[in-house]
Amino acid sequence: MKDRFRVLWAAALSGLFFCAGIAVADEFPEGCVSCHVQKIGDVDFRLNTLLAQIGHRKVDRLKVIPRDCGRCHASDDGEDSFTVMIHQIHFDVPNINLFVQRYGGACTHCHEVNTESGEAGLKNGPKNW
Amino acid sequence: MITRISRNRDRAFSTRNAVLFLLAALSMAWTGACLADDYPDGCVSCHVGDTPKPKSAYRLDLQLADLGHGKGGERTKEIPTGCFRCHASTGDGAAGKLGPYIHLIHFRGEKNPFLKKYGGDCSSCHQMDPNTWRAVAKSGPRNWEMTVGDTKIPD
Repeated sequence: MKDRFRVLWAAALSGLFFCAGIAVADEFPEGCVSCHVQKIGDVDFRLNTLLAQIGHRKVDRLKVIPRDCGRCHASDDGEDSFTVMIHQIHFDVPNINLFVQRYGGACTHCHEVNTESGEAGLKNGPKNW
Repeated sequence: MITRISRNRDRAFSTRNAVLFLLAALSMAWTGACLADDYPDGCVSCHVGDTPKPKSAYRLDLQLADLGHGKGGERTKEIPTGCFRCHASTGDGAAGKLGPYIHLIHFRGEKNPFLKKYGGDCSSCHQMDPNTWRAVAKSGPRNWEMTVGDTKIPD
């Protein structure tokens, strides 16, 4: 009986630590490519697939996302900037927008604050295709 | 007999409707509560409280005075928009850029209350402007009165 109690107690403690770890860990440490993965349900959600669907030129040569997107998409180019486009895709029509509804529209999925300089910037990660 | 059956059926129908209505109202209220912005005015929505204990005196005028910030902070009407007079976001102002400074205050250190208590949620201070699709700082009127000595000066 005592052994069973100890096992249950150990299991409960492990569960607590596991949950605490999940709560603290960054689920999307590499930004775009952490979320845009091969399988979300039955959908291939990787960026190369989505971009091919909308007729974007091939993105096979890119290495780090979204850093290398900046080769063509200047980050601060007025109304047509990359920032404006990505924000609009992720926040427009919030009632049915997947990023808002399913991921809470949380900025920290894509952005992080540099705790040395205080500047907010983009997370980056190697392409996953 | 038929009338009684019909009356009972009507009563059951209206009870069912009342329960459905109550459930719908509760779910709508819950959805509203979830979607509501707890900090619509940014800084001043969170920085409230003027009790004398140092850790509870959370209002910005009190915190700035504690840091030795000039009187300009107390005179600023719209927070943080008015702060940009000196702390221009271009870095050209009389004082340093506000953004990086405020980020460091709110994100540095594991025990930082903004991270621990408020989850480091950017949307407490920022919102997406649907006209420009740029993230902007929320703004609101200051939540303190001007004082000269101990006398409060109305706006």
